[in-house]
Amino acid sequence: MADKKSYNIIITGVGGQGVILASTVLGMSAIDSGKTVKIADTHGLAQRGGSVISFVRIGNVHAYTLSEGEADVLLAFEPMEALRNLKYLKEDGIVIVNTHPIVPVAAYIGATTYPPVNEIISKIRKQCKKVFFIDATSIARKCGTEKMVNTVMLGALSALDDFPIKMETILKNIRKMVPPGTENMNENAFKEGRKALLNLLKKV
Amino acid sequence: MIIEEEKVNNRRSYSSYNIVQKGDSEMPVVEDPLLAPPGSKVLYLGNEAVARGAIEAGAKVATSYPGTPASEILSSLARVAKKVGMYVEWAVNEKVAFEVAFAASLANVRAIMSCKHLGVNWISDALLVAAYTGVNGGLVIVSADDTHPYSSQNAEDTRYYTKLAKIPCLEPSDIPEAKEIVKYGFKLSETLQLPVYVRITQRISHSKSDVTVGEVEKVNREARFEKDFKRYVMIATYSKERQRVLNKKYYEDAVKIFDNIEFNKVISNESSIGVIGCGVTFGYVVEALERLGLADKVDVMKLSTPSPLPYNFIGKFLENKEKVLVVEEGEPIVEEGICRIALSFNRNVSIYGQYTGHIPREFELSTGIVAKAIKAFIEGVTPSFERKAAEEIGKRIPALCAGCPHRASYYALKRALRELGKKGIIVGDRGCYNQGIHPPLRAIDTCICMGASIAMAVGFERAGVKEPVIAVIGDSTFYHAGVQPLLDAVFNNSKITVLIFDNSWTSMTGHQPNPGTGVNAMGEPSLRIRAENIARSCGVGFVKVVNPLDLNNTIKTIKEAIMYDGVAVVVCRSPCTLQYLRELRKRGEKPDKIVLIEDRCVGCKLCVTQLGCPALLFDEEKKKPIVNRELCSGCGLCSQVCPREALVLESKLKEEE
Repeated sequence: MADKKSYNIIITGVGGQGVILASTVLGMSAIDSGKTVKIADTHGLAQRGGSVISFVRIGNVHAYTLSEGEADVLLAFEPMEALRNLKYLKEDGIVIVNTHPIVPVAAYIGATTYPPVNEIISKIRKQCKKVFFIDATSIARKCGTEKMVNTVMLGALSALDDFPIKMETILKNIRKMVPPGTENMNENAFKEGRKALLNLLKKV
Repeated sequence: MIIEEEKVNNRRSYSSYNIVQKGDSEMPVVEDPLLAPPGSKVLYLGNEAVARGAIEAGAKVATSYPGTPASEILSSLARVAKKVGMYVEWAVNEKVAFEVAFAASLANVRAIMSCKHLGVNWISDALLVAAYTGVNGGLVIVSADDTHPYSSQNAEDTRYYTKLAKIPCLEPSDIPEAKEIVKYGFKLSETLQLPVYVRITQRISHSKSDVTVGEVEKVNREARFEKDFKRYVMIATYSKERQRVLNKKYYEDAVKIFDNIEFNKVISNESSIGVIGCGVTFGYVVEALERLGLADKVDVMKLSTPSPLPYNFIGKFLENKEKVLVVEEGEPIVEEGICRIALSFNRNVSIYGQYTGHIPREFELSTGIVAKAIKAFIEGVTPSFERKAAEEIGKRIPALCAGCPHRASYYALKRALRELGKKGIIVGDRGCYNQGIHPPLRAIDTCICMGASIAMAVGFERAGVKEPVIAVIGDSTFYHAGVQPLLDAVFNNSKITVLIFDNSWTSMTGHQPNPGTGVNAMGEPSLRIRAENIARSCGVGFVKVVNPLDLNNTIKTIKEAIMYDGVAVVVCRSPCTLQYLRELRKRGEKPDKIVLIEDRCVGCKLCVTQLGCPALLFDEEKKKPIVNRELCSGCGLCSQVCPREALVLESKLKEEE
């Protein structure tokens, strides 16, 4: 972020996926990198299953939340949540989406509908130029448990060219924040996520 | 009682489960940021910054009742209470919390009481008189107002209370300032001998920011109370004089202090146009002006003292101004006050804000909204604030957790009413069990405020409705505001049914302990109060305890209660699933799981459509439910609802084999 005043990230997902933990790790990493940071979390009432958004603003800013068209990156742990929050993205903003859907329970009792993933993905493609899809859930599962979707996604985020925090700093804070005994598993998940995005970047 | 409880303990229940304090199970052990050394930079939640402010001011007593978005102020202090030598209390309700902190302050120690905006309604009775007696040790009240609202029954601007009680109000603009303002609040409280009110909003409470940790003030004070009946015994004889003392403190002394307080600032560009940001909106004002390229073209005031308003400070700002926009979240309190001050000074200035349609009256503000407001204000037009409808597709409706015992209790209640051929009026209360309103349960008919269920049930019944009236109230809410209405029901010979949904934690707000938990905020074991004992001693004639996960017995007992001629109480007791799972993890055990026996399933979908459990999905092609094993906690409710015994608990399956 050489000539940029601030770097604005939105992390979004479903309650239980570890959105808040991911943004906290970024916040701690920003401080360790000597930067100022503001994070705003919005989440519904449900402990699990509700939509969660976290705004992470690195640099000299005054407001905690982001308004439409202000985010440099949208990091979405779930495709529908990505679609819902595209409005926050800058015109040239980057989207990283976990393609694994979490269908709300309400869809099974007819209280809402959940479109097929392909439809969601093509809608996202239509609306943004720089978009990367990775199956973070499968990667996390291969690394040990689906619960590490957040770690995989942070790994992917760290691979972006202009990302203002070093991967080592993020990794250090992941190791600090995850349950004891799962540090190495999480480090592996982080690196796999990073690799996945680096591969996609090569193709661009 | 214990014998009665043992009888229903054939399913997940307390006998197989010990109470643990939140946070001591699966969370990693990291150094507590509240204890970080002075000078270090740490990431604080807004509520933690408030807590740290109290620690740095040497506060000795902290009290609260849980409520989003305020809860983490006290729960974070509870984490470090013993290390910093503080007494920390989850009180049974906010009024009690305030009175405990107030008396500590009379005894000359510093005390902090925190709550959400609705809690201030509760403390108002005591607060308005506490302002008369005044305080000794600094007393700071922190209210976290949910201005949107995101998780409350209303949005409320509690700054009004500070005008009513005549106590000074401070409003920080960001998280680092929240810490400084709380710390300063104790000093101000001691200078004015008044409770000091700090108003934050959900955005400060639940955001995080880098904060530089400060030194802890050494406040070595012995707790002592010097009798002075003319000051502390507020009967009309003495309160007349105290009224005069209070008015001088608020309308004169506090105004003078606020005229020179460091938290109020003016960024001057010698412009005839001014914008005032109050509290959290100051950040939006600064960013909006930058975005519009107006940062060096208008004068900006950062106002952190909404009540009483700094008279000369504002009067000076209004000098040579043509127009001023007041940006505040909540009600137009500052806007009204500024109009008054402009008139007093005879300033020829137009004041814009909510009354002129430039600032929306509802919902949380943002940089985007404020930029739109400022642009219209400068251009001399009225902005339009149409809210785009949120993406409804795939909407995630809040739901009771998988395995939540409240789902079983509601389902049993609905079944009981159906079997009795009644519709019933189900009077709800405040807590997790609010989620019972969502489909498919749709189980409550009203939900107003803490404790309203039982009194409203009496009202419905006394109005003469023909249907049975059932109040549904959680354990924490019962201890908070349900006991007196229960007494009222017995006292006035009512005929209502009261279901106490007892999961033994104040769960909605993040699992704080309550009198039914067996542990207090300090982590000390405390006598575990039983709701059924309270009901009996209130004179309730029908009192039974059931485990809601034992479905048939629960249905039968609720039916008996509804048929009972008098006040009937059924305590539906089963631990909060999240706490239950936490305890299992701590012991290295795994919960039971539901298994689908496909050839038994006829695809009737009852399990999914009746319960709406997040762990039960449905494969529309195969016409079979899918059990999400990650979420299923083995409560066994669906296995009791399935007419074909196709959903079976793994443990039962093993027995069958």
